[in-house]
Amino acid sequence: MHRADAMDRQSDEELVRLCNVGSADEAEAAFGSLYRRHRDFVLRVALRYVSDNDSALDAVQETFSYLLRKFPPGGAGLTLTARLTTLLYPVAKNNAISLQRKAARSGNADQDPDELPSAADRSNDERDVLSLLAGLPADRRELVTLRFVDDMSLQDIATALGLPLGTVKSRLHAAIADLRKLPQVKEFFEN
Amino acid sequence: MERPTDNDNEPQLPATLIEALKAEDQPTALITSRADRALEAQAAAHFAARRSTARDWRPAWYAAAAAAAVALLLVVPREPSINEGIGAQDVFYADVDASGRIDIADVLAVARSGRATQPDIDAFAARVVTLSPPGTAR
Repeated sequence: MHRADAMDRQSDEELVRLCNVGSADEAEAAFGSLYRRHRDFVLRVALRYVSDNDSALDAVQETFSYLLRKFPPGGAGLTLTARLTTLLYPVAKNNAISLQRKAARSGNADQDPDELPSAADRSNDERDVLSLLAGLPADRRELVTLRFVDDMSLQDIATALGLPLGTVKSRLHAAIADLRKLPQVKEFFEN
Repeated sequence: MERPTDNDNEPQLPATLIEALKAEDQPTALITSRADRALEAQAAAHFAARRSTARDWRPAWYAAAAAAAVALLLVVPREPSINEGIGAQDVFYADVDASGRIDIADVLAVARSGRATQPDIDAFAARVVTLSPPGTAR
């Protein structure tokens, strides 16, 4: 527990370094810290693209399994050149989409696996953030979510999506302009 | 959490809208302690190859026994895989330490035997810790 607490205070860069060159115990503890620090973010990303909780949990496991494989036994593995979330985001998204496609092939034939789950797929008891952004194209909805829900910088978003920074800026401008026109969010801009 | 700002001209959303969006993005699923332990076990198996024999607390005969058991696996045809599609490199999926079940201890035994490559170890570990329904090998 003491080791875990000490590890939890380290930066992502230091934890990645320990995963690369630390002893077995250090690497294991460092990876555990990375997992605890970022698992909720990965889960939230997964839940934006799948329609069932089990698939989301599978996406979380597959994402961190992928990260684990970035640290070979001999060291000299992953080098962080940006925030770790810029790596985790596309991996989590792609894993979730793959799982959703698998579920769609075996289950609901009406489910479009490339789209975010519609409001109709969610529980009636849930307020749906997707309904607030419904009407935005998927790529613009993603930008707004990354920027204002996940608090990612524009540069981090550009890195995570593999887009030029200028493209992210212009698309975000356009996304907010579109958002202002949506009836379900109009009151937020007027108050 | 303060959102990093890239420049003064960056478009903003009303704070109330941001609050509403964040409130709705809360996860509907919980990551169980079982899922946490599964990842931790997978990490332990993955990094086990870094343990030096000098620090290995197991008796000297253990590595030899594990290596012999792994060698036997390569000769004896394996049982049909329980979780098809997990990976092709799952020849080590077996009760190496004869504990009566296939679990992470078998993964560690394979790792310490030195007979498996890292991809084999990872595939074995991934298979063991896959969140399979109760009753199946774990």
